[in-house]
Amino acid sequence: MSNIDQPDQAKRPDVRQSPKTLRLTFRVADGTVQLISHERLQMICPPSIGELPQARKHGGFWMELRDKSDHVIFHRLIHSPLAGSVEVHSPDGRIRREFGDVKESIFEVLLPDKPDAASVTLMGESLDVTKVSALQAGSAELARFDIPRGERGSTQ
Amino acid sequence: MSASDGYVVGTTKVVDHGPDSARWNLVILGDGYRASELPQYHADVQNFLVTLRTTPPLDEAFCGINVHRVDVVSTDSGADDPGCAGGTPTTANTYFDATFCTDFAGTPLDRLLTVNTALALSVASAQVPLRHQVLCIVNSSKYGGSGGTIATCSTNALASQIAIHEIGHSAFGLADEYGGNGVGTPAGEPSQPNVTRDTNRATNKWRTLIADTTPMPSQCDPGCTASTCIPPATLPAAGAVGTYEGAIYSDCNTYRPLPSCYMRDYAPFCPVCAGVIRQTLQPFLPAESINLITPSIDFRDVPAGMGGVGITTHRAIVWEVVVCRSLTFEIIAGPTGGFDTPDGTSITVTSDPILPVTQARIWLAYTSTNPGDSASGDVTVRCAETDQTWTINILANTIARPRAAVALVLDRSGSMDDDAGDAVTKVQKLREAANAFISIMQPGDGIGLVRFNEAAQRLMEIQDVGAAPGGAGRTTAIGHISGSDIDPAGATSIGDGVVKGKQMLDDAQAAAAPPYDVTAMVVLTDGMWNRPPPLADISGSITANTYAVGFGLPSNISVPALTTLCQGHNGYLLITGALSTDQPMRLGKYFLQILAGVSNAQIAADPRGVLGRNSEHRIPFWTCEADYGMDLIVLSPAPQAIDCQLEAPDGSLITPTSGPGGANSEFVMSQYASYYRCALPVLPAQAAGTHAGLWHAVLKPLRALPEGVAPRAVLPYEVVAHVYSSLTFSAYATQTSFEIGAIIRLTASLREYEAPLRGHADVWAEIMRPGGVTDVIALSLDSGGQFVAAYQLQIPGVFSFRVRARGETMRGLLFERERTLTGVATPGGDNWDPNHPKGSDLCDLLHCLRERGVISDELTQRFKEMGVDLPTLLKCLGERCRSRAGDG
Repeated sequence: MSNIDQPDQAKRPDVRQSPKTLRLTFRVADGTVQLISHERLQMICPPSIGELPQARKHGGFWMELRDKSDHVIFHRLIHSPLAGSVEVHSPDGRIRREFGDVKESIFEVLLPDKPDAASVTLMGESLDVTKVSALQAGSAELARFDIPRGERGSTQ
Repeated sequence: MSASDGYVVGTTKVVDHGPDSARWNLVILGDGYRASELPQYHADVQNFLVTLRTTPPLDEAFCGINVHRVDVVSTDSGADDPGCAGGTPTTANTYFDATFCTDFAGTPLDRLLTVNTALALSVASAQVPLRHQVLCIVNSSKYGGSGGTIATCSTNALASQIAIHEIGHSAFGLADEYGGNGVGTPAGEPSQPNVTRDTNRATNKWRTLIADTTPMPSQCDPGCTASTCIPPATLPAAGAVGTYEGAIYSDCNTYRPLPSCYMRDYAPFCPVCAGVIRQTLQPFLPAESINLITPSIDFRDVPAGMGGVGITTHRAIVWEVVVCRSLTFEIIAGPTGGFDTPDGTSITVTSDPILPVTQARIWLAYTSTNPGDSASGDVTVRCAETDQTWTINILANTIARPRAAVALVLDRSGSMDDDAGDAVTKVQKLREAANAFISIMQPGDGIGLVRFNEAAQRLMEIQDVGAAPGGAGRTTAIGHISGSDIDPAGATSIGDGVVKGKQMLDDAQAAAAPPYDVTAMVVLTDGMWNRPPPLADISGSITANTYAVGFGLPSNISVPALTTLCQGHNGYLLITGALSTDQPMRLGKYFLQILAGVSNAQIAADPRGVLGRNSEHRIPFWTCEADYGMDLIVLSPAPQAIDCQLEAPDGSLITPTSGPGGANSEFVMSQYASYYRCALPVLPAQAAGTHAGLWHAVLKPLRALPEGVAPRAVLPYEVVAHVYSSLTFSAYATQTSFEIGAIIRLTASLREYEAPLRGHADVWAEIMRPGGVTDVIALSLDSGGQFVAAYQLQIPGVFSFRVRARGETMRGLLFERERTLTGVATPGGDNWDPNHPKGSDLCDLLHCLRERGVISDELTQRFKEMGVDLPTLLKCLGERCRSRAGDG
């Protein structure tokens, strides 16, 4: 079976699965990542897409929500948490990505606010963009954070 | 720069498909828009939304999306542009500090348009806490944009593609599908769902979308020498999902599902990406529901047509639908009972672009027959997608044409003997206008007369006007109007006139069998009420539709009281101002407009002109398929001297001798008006060519004048086309202040078969200011489906608003409608006190001089020495001032 299911349009969304959403905001700076704020929101969390990527096998970046037993209970693909690349669009229709050494960026992740969630893990190849290439080794855990408490908070 | 360079105005939910807690919320910020440019920002947001909701598969999931527009004002317009690719550097102080040529790793990139991300996220969260995605539109036509946590794009026509591509990354986790030299390409299998290294059809992540006949890999990049890709023996079919080499920044050994995709080159999203987007948005889609809100259709009391031609009326079977996909409702049985389906037997609906609920309508039609007839039937409809069926009962009956009773309440105070402004007395103008009004009333309607000066009398009780011409009621009423019964004299008690008019209508209703369907009172006055009772005391007891015509200058008329009287009773006040020689029949036209309102007719055209001795005027006017009758009226001091013919859309000529019999038309000549009264189609044998389309009234001076009609060098005329129609236009003016500078609000609405107009229409007002200067303003369509505009009355006097509508019906046929309204501004207009009429400055001065004892014996003696008899002069002035205070 494909992991790309065609949704049944007439099916009622099961909002009970994710009526609350946790928005986490991270800062990447000098090769490290910090959780700088969180908000608990009464809104539907977008679902996971695709099968759970596996460390060392899959490339790219994703966030894993883990329970107390360290089982992954949700994952979210992240396009590019790194500030080390930008996409340049040209009026002639060409798109290209520029890579470079940029020290700091901010990114957000939406995760379901599950009561059994204990930690969140950033998975990926490297926070140093110059080391991300086809010649490098596969992905691994890059950072881990406890699920923050309270409706909202900031470490800044 | 930044937050100090502007301010946040607020947020508007421009797409509301349900509560934010249950939908996917897109927040749009604007940067580089000054306060005066916010309307442009709103238009730019709408343009982006058109792109968004027409981009598959977002179109089918749009019902799960809310869009919030945050209005932000910047100090300067545009964005910073350091000119890194040439050109003159520019700086703009904007709220989010938007800039092109963003420096990246030491290199400025011309098209890289970015904003202050932290500030934008903060504003977005403050305005819309439950946000999923933020987009910033920057007010610059230069192509540019960027991705990341916030998508950014300029207003360049193609830049919205950048935003959608970047949302593909940030909201749906899609990878770029373009190639490159491998920098940034992950070492292992990419985690994103739309790129892969796996060309094995048994394990590929989008394998269920790959046909068995599609080769794997499906295409190799010929420029990639280091690739392990083995070119297929046969090319895949066009559009076949497979594995095409070149993706995620590498030309070699990485694959995408199709040659093109939004994530590679802005082509439509490939099936894999489209599936991801659908899957992501699926939890946000509302539960589908279909509710029939018209379990039965009732064509109740449809009037019989004119001349035996039935009136066709439409009613819709309506479902309220919450849906994301397309649903088709189709008639599977019926309608029985002789009902028609004028718009076809099926309808397909999708979600509303901005609202959570949409409506599906299938239209039924009933054509009236003879009074007392009834019909019944049913129709069964099925929804093709859900297989639900509904059987709807249909009922109908035909009644006689609604009858109206009209009380004309006419001022005959002394001032009606004054010049109306064109060397003709006001009372003579009234006689001409009332004569035309009575002559054109429809048989079966009732007419009654009340006159008033310091007291009112019921001059003629409500009586059927009878046939046209020559009916007993008409003849009697015109006799009163033409004779001495309304000769001017005395003061002005409008209140007593209104009381008598109300009592007359009440008595007529009590005696009529059956009662009249409509009662109306038309009050004409040229003065300020100065005898009790006050209008405010009696207004509440009136039940008739009430119209008023203020004849003359507004400063002499009880404008606020009459406005309140009319606006509270489904009518309106018209002020003529001084009549001029170029519009001598303005009062007559106002009476005809009121007659149209009373008889539920629509005004399709009302041009005027002057016929020369050898001239022929062809006056165009449109009728549409919703029209079922018309009156073509010619007002003139000598209508007997004008040859008037009608030219139908197919060229057929309708003449005074055409009907009845051969045609559904009747020609009537009276003293101040001639008219055709027609049912549509006029010629049953040529129904298509004598119903909807472009008609012409053809006017020529008669060469052989009837006996007693004096020849004239020129013949002024006013043509008014009244149509009886299921496409109705209403317009009214609301004025709460009458001071100079007051704002008048114009409101108009169009309805087609008792539902909002389904075709397109423009509505505007042609304004004649005091002094003859003209303005034109457009009325804009508001969210409630009404056309609205506001206009400031900046100078004293009467403003005439000719509110016009022009558009297309549901069948695409052109129609025109219009209505004239008036507004008034005058110094002290909000302190109109009829019990203390405004005196002249001279009278006020005289009063003051006497009160303060300024006129001493010494002053009298000095004037006497100069030859001025001051006591006699003061006496004369005093008599004049007393006369003004008591005069009507």
